[in-house]
Amino acid sequence: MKTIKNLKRILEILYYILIGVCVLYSIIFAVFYFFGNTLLSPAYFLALEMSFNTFFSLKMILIPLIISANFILLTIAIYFLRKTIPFFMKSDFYNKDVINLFKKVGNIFVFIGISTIISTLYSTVIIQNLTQKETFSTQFLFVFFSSFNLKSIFSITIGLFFLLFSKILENSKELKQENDLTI
Amino acid sequence: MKLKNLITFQKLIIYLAIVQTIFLCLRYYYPWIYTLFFDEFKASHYIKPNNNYHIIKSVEGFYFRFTIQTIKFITTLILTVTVLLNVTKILAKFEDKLYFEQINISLLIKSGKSLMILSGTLLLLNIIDPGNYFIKSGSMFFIGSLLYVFGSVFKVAFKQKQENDLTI
Repeated sequence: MKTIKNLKRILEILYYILIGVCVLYSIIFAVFYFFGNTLLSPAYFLALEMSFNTFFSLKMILIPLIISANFILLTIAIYFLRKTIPFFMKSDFYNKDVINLFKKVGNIFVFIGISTIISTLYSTVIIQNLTQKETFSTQFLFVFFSSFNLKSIFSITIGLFFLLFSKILENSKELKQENDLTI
Repeated sequence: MKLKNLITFQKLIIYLAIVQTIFLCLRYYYPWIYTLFFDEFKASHYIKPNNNYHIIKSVEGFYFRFTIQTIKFITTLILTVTVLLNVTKILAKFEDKLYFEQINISLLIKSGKSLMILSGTLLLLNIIDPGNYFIKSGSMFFIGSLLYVFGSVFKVAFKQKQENDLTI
């Protein structure tokens, strides 16, 4: 019980930090969006505006967009994890809500991992223009393997672990129900 | 996804993580070994330049930094690979439909503790010798605490299962 209480504290701290960072970034973004021309120097503002309004605008926006989406998804995952703690405190592991929440958290973590790999691959190949014809195969292979960084692999592992636990709890729930009926 | 497929996929990812960890550890530690024998390591020695890697042996405090990097390398390699191997052992048990077993509980708790120790060690070593490292201590602590709690949850479930068996 003590460990579960400690986890609750860790998750709460993490959740509030993530919420704080989300709010802070939103404020900064809003300030620069509405008052950018007065806060930034004219040349810098013009360069920024040009880079977002040209043909490459999608490429420029896509990576920050994926990072922001992943950050928000992580906050949601922590929120879902927080919701499972009261069930653990009551030793109610086989509850349907816990299984569903674990499934959601697992899917979120797997998505974060895969999207991080794809965005890393995308940013290295397209934005840095690494695809020169003569060395394309070797460079692409190098970029491909280096995009599988440990952070995203661990994220996928955690996600799969959550999915696995939800399946195990689901199976155990059925077994428990059978046992209870036998008694 | 079925449980069996999920376990197979998870095992594949774990093996990928083991290979990647060993590769990154060796990639991180190689410049230090190189400097020890050839006096200087430049960033251009790598395919992908890394600004952190310009190490000179004659600079004061090299051996102290070398010792710290060695501790970092050994701790990361041993603890991370051990944890990942423990996870594969747990997955093998899950494959045999043995979920709430004593061995799974001890392996989960041990893995959680190992990752928490690793994060603490990395934090301490980063304070002594700051620099970029491919593992962030915060995320390791989070994963470690999750594994530890899963272990505790399994422990309670194991006790419940024992009580149920006794009732039957």
